[in-house]
Amino acid sequence: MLSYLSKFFMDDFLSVFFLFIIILIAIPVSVYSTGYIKKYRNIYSGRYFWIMFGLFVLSMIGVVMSSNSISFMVFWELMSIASFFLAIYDHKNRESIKPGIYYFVLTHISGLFLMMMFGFIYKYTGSIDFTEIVHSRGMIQEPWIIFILALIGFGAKAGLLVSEGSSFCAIHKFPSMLSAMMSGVMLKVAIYGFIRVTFFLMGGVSWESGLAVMLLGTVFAIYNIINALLQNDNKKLLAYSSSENIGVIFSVIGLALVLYDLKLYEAAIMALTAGLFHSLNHGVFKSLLFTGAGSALFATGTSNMNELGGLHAKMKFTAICVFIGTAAISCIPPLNGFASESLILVSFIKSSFLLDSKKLFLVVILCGCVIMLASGAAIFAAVKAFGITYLGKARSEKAVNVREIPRSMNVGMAMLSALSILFGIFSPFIVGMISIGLSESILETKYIVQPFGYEITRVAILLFGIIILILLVSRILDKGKKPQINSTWGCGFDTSKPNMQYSGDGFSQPVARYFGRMAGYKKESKVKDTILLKQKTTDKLENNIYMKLIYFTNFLAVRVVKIHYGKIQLYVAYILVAVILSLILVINFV
Amino acid sequence: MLEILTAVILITAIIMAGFRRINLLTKGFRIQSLAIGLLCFALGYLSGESHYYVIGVLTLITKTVLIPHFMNRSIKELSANREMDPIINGWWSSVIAGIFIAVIYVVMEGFNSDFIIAGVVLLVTGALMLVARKKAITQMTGFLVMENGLVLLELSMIKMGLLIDILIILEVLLISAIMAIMIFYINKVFHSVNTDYLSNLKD
Amino acid sequence: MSIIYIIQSLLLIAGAPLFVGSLRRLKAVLRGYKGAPVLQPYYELMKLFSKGRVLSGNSSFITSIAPAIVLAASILLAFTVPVAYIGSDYGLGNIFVIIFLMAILKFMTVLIGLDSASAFGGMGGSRELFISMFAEPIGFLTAAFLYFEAGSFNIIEITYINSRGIAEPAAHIMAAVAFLLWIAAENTRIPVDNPETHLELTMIHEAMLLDLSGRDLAYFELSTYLKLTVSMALFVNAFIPFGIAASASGSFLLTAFVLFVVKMLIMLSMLAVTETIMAKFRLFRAPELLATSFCFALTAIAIVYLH
Repeated sequence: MLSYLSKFFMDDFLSVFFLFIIILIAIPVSVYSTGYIKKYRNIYSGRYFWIMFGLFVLSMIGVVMSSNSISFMVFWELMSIASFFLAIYDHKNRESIKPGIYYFVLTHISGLFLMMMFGFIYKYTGSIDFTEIVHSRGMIQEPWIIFILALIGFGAKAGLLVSEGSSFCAIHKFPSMLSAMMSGVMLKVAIYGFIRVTFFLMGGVSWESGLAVMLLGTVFAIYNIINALLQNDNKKLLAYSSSENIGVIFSVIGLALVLYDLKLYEAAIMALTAGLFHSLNHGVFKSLLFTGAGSALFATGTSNMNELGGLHAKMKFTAICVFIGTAAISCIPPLNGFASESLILVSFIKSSFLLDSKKLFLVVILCGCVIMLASGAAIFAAVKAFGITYLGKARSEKAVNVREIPRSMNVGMAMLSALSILFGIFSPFIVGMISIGLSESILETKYIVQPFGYEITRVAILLFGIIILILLVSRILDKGKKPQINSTWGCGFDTSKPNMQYSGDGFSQPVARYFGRMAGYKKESKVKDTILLKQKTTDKLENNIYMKLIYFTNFLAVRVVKIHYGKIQLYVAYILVAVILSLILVINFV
Repeated sequence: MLEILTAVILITAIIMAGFRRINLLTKGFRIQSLAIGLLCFALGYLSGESHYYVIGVLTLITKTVLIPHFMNRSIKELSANREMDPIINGWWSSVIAGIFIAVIYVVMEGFNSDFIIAGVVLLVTGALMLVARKKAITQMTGFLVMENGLVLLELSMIKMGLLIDILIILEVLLISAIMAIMIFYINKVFHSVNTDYLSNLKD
Repeated sequence: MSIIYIIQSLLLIAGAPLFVGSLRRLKAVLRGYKGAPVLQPYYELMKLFSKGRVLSGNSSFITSIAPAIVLAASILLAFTVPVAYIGSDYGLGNIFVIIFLMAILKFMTVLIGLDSASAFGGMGGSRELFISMFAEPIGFLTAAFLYFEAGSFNIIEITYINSRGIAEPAAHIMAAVAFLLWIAAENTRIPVDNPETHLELTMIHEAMLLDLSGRDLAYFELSTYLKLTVSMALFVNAFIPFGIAASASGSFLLTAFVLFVVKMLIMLSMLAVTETIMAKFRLFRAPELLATSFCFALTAIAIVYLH
């Protein structure tokens, strides 16, 4: 029975690992959803949501477990459809329909490319079964076509080529638990597909292709994080930041492809391990942050951080959870973001040392620098999102009249926070496990990656020990002294007003000045009775490339429509011409 | 010793590529020339050839005393002592300089001498200054940095005739004197040393 | 970890305020006035400890835990960096851990700045993150440089290997200059920020601590001292580690310790001289300085990799 089943399911390490990610994050998010869905209780059906949510999770599991390209594509499309129906769950709200439809089109374009890719694989190997493809992968003649199709198909879905947060993939406009699921899990499924095709099915690609992936990932990482930094919408910021992390993951996967082609297998395993571990960690902390942003949205009705502030007072538990998520995404040791980010940086340095070609060495080191710059900007963005929203004073009425948050939402977030801490402290063990699994399934040898030894665990224990010690000492010092509570210094005014605090715009202003062009940042100031300052950002990539593509398609469509006359005779004539043409083609070319 | 002098030369080149204060540029140039002069002496001591000493003495006299003196004279005449808005701003010009330097090291990996590479680095950073800056005086510094690079190149590559060396150095002296006078007149006519104004001349 | 290792780290922690005190004194002397006694930072800390805490009404859990976290991270930092003796136990001291432990201080300080709802805290935090964003690649390149030089990420191993001789002095000097600028940016010292002013519009680090008092402020001040001292010790041991004791014999230890103190004094006087003769850069000019530093580090890597 089991052997019969295993024909239909992949059970190698990669599939199991991604299955682990999906289930691990789906459980807390579904706990969270039981609370969050109360927001829609009177308007929409809860059963509809749960069916679609279950379908979504199951189809993702199906994608990572499927062992042939047909079932892969079926589950892939099912995943797209389920996520689309979840995306338009709030369909009475006009604003959420349009991004949903854009997203639907995007996923189908990505699906189209993937279908073409599997078609090409079938053409060369004559097989749809993954294990058979692996055996006959030597017959693939033009791997670069398959590679490019895979990059476009999976890259578009993963948010590499199309930024999450641009209007084509506006996951910030979807219900929060879906944003958390999509950013945390669905993007990882696309990464799974990319690794499966490039590493496992094709057995590695040429190093030039790997280099292209690395450069693309790095460029998109810095582009997206600058865009994230300049957003004032909490969820939009997080959406862009997801794309940054995906860029980093793709970059390190590209590095692994380069190293794999140059036969530096151990370094390749290390880079791939870093990529996989970062996928896991990003899934955990990004869904934590998205659920946190969702809680703020649930409680106040807005996710614009310039209207929020001071939420820590009434949402203390949420604030603590989001604090942990922020620390994790800011690479604060000993949390999980640090564990994987440092692994990525170490693998960049170590592998550049191994490379023979000096030009490649330079490119790898510079990519590492850009990724480090992006990680600095990521700290900036995360601190902005947390600090402006949760700390300080309420900036508007909305942030004062806070709705109570259901306990289940807090439970879901607490689970994710605990995961975030655990994966940080015990990261050496997890990294070891991932590297063993990967090296056994790719190289068929056992190789353990442990660049830090157990140092992170040691640092974590010491750090927590010292913190507890200091807190005890402070308790003793404070004995008998009660802290005085006063209002903050009003800078010379009588009282400090909420709008005297730094706003989200102000906080990221220095970066807007240096890198604003990258995010289409524009500032207008008018002096009338009062000074009016208008700032806005536009997604450059979206406006300059994708919108033009859409206009072009529209233009073509309008031209093509002209052959529609509505006369049946004309259509028959079209069919006739088409048949004759295809006959000629078949006779001449087959 | 040679290594440390090379490091000093590279450090001054990088600083000069990024900074815009003109008197700082002069100081940087002076230190760089001093390092090159000392390098000549050190090479002369190591190889025992006398013509290194001649180049060293000439470099020291012209580039640490005379040319900086001209430059300081013309700075005194100028109203603004810094580059206000360069074509490539400070951050980018430093980053570009860094990437250029690394690329040079990568491209010239076959040459096993530090001076050749340092010489090319000076050539490129000097060219970068010529391209990226607007003021005539910074451009002159860029030109002088390029010349320093030439000196380094000839130190290590080909044994040029002593006469040619001396001629080159004298020529540089002359050119910098001419440029100093020119800057003075540009300043007098346009009340600025911004070379953008030179495009007014074309109609 | 051996006893000597712990003792030297404890000495480093105890000596951190002394280091800052003598820095202040030296700067005062250079500027031509007498200056506060060398032990002044200790008095300040004692005074702060004896004072009561005043909290802002808007402050959250961040204000209650951040001082402890920051102090803990800086104490841990002192234990990760070797001083005069390097044992054979390489349990701590990965250079990325050190860099990101420093990031804890930055992260928590910025949050403290935002916590009290004051106008200046956000300003300081925004500036601090802006500058540290540009400093990150330099940290990466320095770590890469040290790895290329010594073949290890562990600072103790790096110290040991570098103390036995340096293959590429030119590259070494350039990386050292880059790292010094990184230290200035991380510790918000003079070319980047002036730690002495309390003029709100110019300051970075102090702006975030404006609403702290009592022992909270003492913790933060102590951690700032520690961070500076540890960064200096890191520099001394990574770039000029000659004479460090690799075995625990008495005479070696003594010379190593004396050498360490001398090196720290040299660093201190260099710092004092630069802070006296240089002015603070404008905020938007500071990235240019860091770009120069990036350029140094990249050149150093190019040199060290090609030979």
